[in-house]
Amino acid sequence: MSKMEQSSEEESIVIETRWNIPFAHHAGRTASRFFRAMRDEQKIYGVRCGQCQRVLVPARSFCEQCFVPVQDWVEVGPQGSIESFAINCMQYEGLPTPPYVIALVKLDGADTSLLHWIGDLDLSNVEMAASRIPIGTRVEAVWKAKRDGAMTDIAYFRLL
Amino acid sequence: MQRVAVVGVGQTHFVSHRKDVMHSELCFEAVNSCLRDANLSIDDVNAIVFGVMDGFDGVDCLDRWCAGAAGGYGRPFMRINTAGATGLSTGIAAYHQVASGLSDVVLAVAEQRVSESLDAQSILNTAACPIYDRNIGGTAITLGSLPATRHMGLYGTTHAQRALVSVKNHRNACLNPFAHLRFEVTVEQVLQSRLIEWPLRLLECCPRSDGAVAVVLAGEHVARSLTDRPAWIHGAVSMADTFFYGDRPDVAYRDNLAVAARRLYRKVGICDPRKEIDVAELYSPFTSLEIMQTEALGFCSEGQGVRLVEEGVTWLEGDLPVNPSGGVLCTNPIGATGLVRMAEAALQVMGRAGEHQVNGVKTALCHGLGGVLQFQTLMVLGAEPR
Ligand SMILES: [Zn+2]
Repeated sequence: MSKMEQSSEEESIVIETRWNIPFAHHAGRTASRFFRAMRDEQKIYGVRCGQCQRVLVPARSFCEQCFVPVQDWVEVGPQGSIESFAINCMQYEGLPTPPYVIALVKLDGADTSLLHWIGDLDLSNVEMAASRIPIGTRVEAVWKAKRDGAMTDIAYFRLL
Repeated sequence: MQRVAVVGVGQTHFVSHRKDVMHSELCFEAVNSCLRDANLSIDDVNAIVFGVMDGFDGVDCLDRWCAGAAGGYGRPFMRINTAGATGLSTGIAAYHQVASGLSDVVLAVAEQRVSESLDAQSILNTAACPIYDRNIGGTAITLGSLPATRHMGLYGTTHAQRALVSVKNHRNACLNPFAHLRFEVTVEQVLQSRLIEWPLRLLECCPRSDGAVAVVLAGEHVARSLTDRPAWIHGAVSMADTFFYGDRPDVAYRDNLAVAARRLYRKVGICDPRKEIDVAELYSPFTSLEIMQTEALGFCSEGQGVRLVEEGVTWLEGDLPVNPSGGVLCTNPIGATGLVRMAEAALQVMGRAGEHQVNGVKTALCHGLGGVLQFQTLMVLGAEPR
C-alpha cells in the first residue's frame, strides 16, 4: 500500500459541482410516426425487415443485423406475453416509486420485446407477486387517458 | 504482426472512496506501480491507451484530465470507451498497437471514480435510449435481474443456487489484497440480504468502486529481455450487439458472448474450453451473469451453469476457477473493470497472483461486458507464446 493511501485521515477538501443541463432529443421521422400512432390511434406499430423478416418493435428505420433500411409498417399487440421480468425495490432519483415490475413483453406479431411495466398487481409480497407472473404470462396494453406521444402512453401492461 | 506479451501490471487498492487523491492522481499511482512491476521507466513507453466510462466522474472528456497522469506527456495518447467493456477494449487496443509492429511498448490504463457521482443511477439513466427506453426505469441491476428471472423460468435455477456464486466470489476476494469487498458470506446471508431488484439481493450485486489499473504490453523481443515469464497474448475478440434490450433473442442465454467465444476459440486453437482453459476472469457484476457466462463460454451446456458452481468446478480449488480474484461482484470500478480482468488473467499466467493463484495456469481467459449486454470482449493469455 502506498504512503499516500495511508494518509487518508488528513482532511481532503471537497469541491461540489452539479450537472443540470437541459436537452431536447429529436425522435426523427420513424419514431415520431410510431409515437403518433400510439397517441392518436392507441395502436402499436413495428416494422418488418424485408431481408430477415423480423418484425422490430419499437419501430425503427433500419435493421442493424441485415444493415438495410426498413419501412414495412405492421401493427402488433396490444396483447403479448412476458419474456422476463424484474421487480425493482429501490428508489432512484428520476425513476418510478418502488416497488414496480419491469418486463420484457413480446407483443403478438413482433419478433422483439418491449421494455415496459406490468401493473395492477399486488406487490405487498414481492416473492408472491413474482410467482403470479411466470414466463409466458399473457398481458395486454392499458392506455393512458391523456397521451402525449411517448412510450409511457401505454400506462402499463395488465394480466389477461 | 509481432507476438505480444503482458510484462507488468499495477492496480490501486479498490475502495468505495479514495479521498486522499484527485481523479488524475489515481492514474498516476496505477501507472507507476505498473512500470515498477515491469522494471520499465515511462521513457520506455511508446504510446498510451486510456479507458474510462462517461458520466460517473462528473467531468466530460476525462482523457484531458488524465493524459498527463497516465504518462501521455509528449507521447501518442488515445481514449477508448465501450461502457463497462471499456477496460478490456483498452487492453485490446493496446494489444493491436503492439501486434502491428508500429509500437514495441504500450501502456493500457483505465480508471473510474464511481464515488464522485453522488447518484450513480442518474448517470446510468442517461445511458438508456432517450427516445424509447429511458422513462420506463430500467436500472443498472435490470441487466442482471431480467436474465436471472428467465433463467429461473427456463431451467429451474433457484435463489440458493445463485447465492453460491456470491459465497465463492466473496471467499476469493478475501485472498486478493486489491479487492474492494473483503468479507466472507454464507448462502443464508445472501438470501437474507436486502432485496434490490427481484430476484437479485444486495449480496448478488457488485459494489461501486474507485480505482485504477495499468497493464504494460511489449513486443516479443522487448518482452523476452524484460522477464522470463511474461503472459503471452494468444488472441482477442470484441463484438458489438444491438442497443435495444428487447431485441435479444433470449435474455437467459448470452448468445452474443457465445458467438464471440466461438470466434476467439477458433482464432487461438481452443477445441474444448472446459479442459483447455485453466482459469477465467469474467465481467460478472451479478451472480446471474456469471452463471450464464460460463454457459455461453462453453464451460458447460446451456442451463447447466449452476452445476459448475454447485460441483465446485469454478471454485478456487476446482478444475476451472472462475473469478479467483473475487471478480466484479466484489470490485467494480466500472470503466477500469475489464482491464482488471486482463491484469488478473496475466498475473495468473505469470504465477504472480499471490494467495488467489490457481495452480499450474497455462491458459487464462478474460472478459469484458459493456452496455445492456451489448459489448462483449474476450482475450486469451498463455504461459507459452503462440
Ligand atoms: Zn433484417
